[in-house]
Amino acid sequence: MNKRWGTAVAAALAACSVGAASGQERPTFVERRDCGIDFVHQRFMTEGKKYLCETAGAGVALLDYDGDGRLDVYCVQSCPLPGYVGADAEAPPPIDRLYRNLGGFRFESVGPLVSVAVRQPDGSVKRVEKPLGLDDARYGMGVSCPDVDNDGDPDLFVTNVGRDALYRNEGDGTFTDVTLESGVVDELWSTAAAWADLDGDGDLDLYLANYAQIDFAAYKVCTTRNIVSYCHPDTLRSAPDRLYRNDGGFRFTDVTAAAGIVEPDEGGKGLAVLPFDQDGDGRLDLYVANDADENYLWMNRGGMKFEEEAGLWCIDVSGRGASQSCMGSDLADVDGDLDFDLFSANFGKEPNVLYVRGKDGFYDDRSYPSGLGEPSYLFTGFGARFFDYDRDADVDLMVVNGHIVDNAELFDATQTFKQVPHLYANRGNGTFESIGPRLSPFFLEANVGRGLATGDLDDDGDLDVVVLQNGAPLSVLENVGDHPGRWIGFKLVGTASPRDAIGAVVTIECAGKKQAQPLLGTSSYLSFGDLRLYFGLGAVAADAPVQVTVRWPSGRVQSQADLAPGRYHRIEEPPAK
Amino acid sequence: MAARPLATRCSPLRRLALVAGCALLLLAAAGRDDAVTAIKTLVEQRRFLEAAQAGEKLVKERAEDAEAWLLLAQVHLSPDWAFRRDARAASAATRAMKLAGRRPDIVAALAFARARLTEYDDALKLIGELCDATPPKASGELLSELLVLRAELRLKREGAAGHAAALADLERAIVAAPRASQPRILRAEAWMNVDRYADALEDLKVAIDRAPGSKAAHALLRTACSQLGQREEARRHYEIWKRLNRLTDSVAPTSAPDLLERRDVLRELATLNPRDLDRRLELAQTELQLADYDGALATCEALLGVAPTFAAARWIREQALLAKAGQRPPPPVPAPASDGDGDGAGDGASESASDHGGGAR
Repeated sequence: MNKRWGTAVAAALAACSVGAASGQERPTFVERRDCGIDFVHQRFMTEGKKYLCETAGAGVALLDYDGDGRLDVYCVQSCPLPGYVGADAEAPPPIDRLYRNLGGFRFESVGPLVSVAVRQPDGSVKRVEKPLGLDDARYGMGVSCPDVDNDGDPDLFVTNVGRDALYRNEGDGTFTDVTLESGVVDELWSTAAAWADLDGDGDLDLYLANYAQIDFAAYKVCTTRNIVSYCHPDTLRSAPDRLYRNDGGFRFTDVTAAAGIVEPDEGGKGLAVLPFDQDGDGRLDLYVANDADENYLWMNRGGMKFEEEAGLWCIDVSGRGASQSCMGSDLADVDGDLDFDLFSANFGKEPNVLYVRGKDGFYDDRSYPSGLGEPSYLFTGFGARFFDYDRDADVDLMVVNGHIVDNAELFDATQTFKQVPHLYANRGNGTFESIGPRLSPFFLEANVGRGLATGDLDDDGDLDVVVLQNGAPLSVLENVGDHPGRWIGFKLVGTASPRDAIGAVVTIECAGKKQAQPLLGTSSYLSFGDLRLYFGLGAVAADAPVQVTVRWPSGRVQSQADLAPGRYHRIEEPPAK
Repeated sequence: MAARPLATRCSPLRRLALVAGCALLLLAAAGRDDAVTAIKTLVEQRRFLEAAQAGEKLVKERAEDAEAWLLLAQVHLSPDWAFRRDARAASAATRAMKLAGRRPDIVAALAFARARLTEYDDALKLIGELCDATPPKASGELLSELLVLRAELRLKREGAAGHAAALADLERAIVAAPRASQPRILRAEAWMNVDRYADALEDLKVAIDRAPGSKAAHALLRTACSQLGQREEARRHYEIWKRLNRLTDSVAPTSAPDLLERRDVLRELATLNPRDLDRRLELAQTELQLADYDGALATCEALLGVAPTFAAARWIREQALLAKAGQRPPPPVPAPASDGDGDGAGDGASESASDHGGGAR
């Protein structure tokens, strides 16, 4: 059977098995290749070099950049690196792409010029063409969309191998590159950027995870059995992470050393950062997932001072004390006890790790008992996101996989470059079952999954998924499942807290069941999802009242009762009394 | 994953061989026994790649020798070798089995290799063949290690459903090898899976008594003590674990500790975990290599105060005395914890450190 026919038959069989296994007429997730998003990630592999960054990117973001209430999509692109001799070596490098959500699951590419309404001196409005302003053409890694200046629209921060890019949203559908004047000038290989109000002054500070020091001019070629292959990360020196204090007006100060962000030993190779309050002192701490090294937990002592305590809280390594290769990460209450558990995806032959929070906030590695260990053992996980895909009132987990070595199978028969993604359904008690193929043929198709973000792209009350595949087209999965449960969502607007409210915790109660979620902003791998918090409510009455309590980053606690399911509620932080 | 490797634990005699340096042993290895000894020594020195290369040479020369094939399999089952080839372990064990039949040690090696390759059902069949016969075809440590492997597979694959059967296997494993630490460590994990941290602590205390330098045991003790509210004890085990980990956490010399850092870490460990005599001996050896003869002598004296018959400590003390008197240069610096060629040789290429494809980080 030739390969093309083989693929077609496999797809047909997969479609049949999806329907048969699930008992549904149609799958839960449909890959929408017709939605207008034509982004194709290019890895630009340099012959004979195998730069480690080539298979590491990239991320994807969901943001409402134009304030129309719909989630738009930003995709990070790479570019040719020194020594690249591909046919397109002389062509202008591709740039990141922004897609505007037109509604009805239709998108259109934005730029390079956009039509902007400009008010004239006589009061009339004239439309003129302006550059979109998003022209980053460096080797891209991650993206985040914080409201840096609390003006109500998302700005953009793109991490690169080399200088990162910070864009101010001008509010008219265009952006301005403010990197140089902002003070966030980092020339290292940056990956994850976490935004959180770390000093309690009401704006978002930046923790920037850096991976490794990469010198293209003196890059060491690694071989195994005379085959050129990607180097182990240990062969590259780690690049130090950075902490920037937001001074307002798009000005930042590097406070890394003053804040005590001094990485032990050689330093870690950071790939994900999650801001959350680990010890309940009202200050946001930072979990940093490191590749091939111990993770960090920077405990916020106040006054922009931090101490590293991952080891103390038992989330630095696996339960058996082995360093892991932690990549995409997320935080959620998996077992319904209203505290947050930590997940990090890992390298092949290391199970993904689930740290379940236990007594007094100490964690225990429950990867295998939770059911997340065994199915992930042979896979290299990157993008990872907890979300309630089926509205049954617990968080499920999606992980996209793909080795970093493009010829992995030459060295280990159990490994492949392209790997299938996983969706783990929560059984309701914090244990999981891998059920992806029952939900969509997407989960039968091997790819090199990297960025992953979730959000309600069509505002129909369920969560859709966007996956950036390394060296392949973007995958947009529409959630079309017939979910019987109800749902409710929240858009938080901070006042004393940052307007985005990143770091807030929302707890709801409906029909006797309580649930809690943190608002993280950056999560998963190099990606940024819907800032609205979404809860499945399970099989409750259509008019079942929902009580919500918001713990704002400022420390204020706000409660509202009798909210109606089936819609997104805007909750604004009350003024101080 | 448990394995049936060649031991790399620092017994005194092994340390003697390590200090003497393997180059001399290799030069002296003329016959098969010497070659076997040399390969085992290389493994003890964590020079796995060289051990595997010597093993390949040996099986080429003695293609009909089951022992040679089994040895090659065991090299590739070394648990501390990040770039081992599980498939080669399986093929070598299979070849040994063809030559020598279903000998328990060969079947066991194949079982461990199959498990590494995630061919769990095959591995379980082989384990069953050895452990479930009446009487069992394996005994002592081998039986214990096989039962530990089966228990581990059950816990990983079956979760709560495999809990009882895993505990039964671990009970048998403890009876078969009462001094072994691994069954206790795994049983502690099983208890922790069901929130029985106090029971886990009891097993871990026994395990750490048997293996004071076990990274896994210290890591689990940290977690168990944390969950039981024993903060100080949790912290103590974490501090020990952190230093043990620093000695072995890198596969590339660029980020591995150099000799001076190793000495500092080992000195801290000697204070934090004085019962770990192997690490204290390693400290003496490191001090000797750094020409810190007074340090080496003090470390050896302290060791001999605890264990007066510790031959390796006596030997290092003699070497330090001789070196201090100017009668003998310090022993050569051994290869780093990785294969030693991880940073590339000559052409700037790296073999071991590049082996992501091995998937064995």
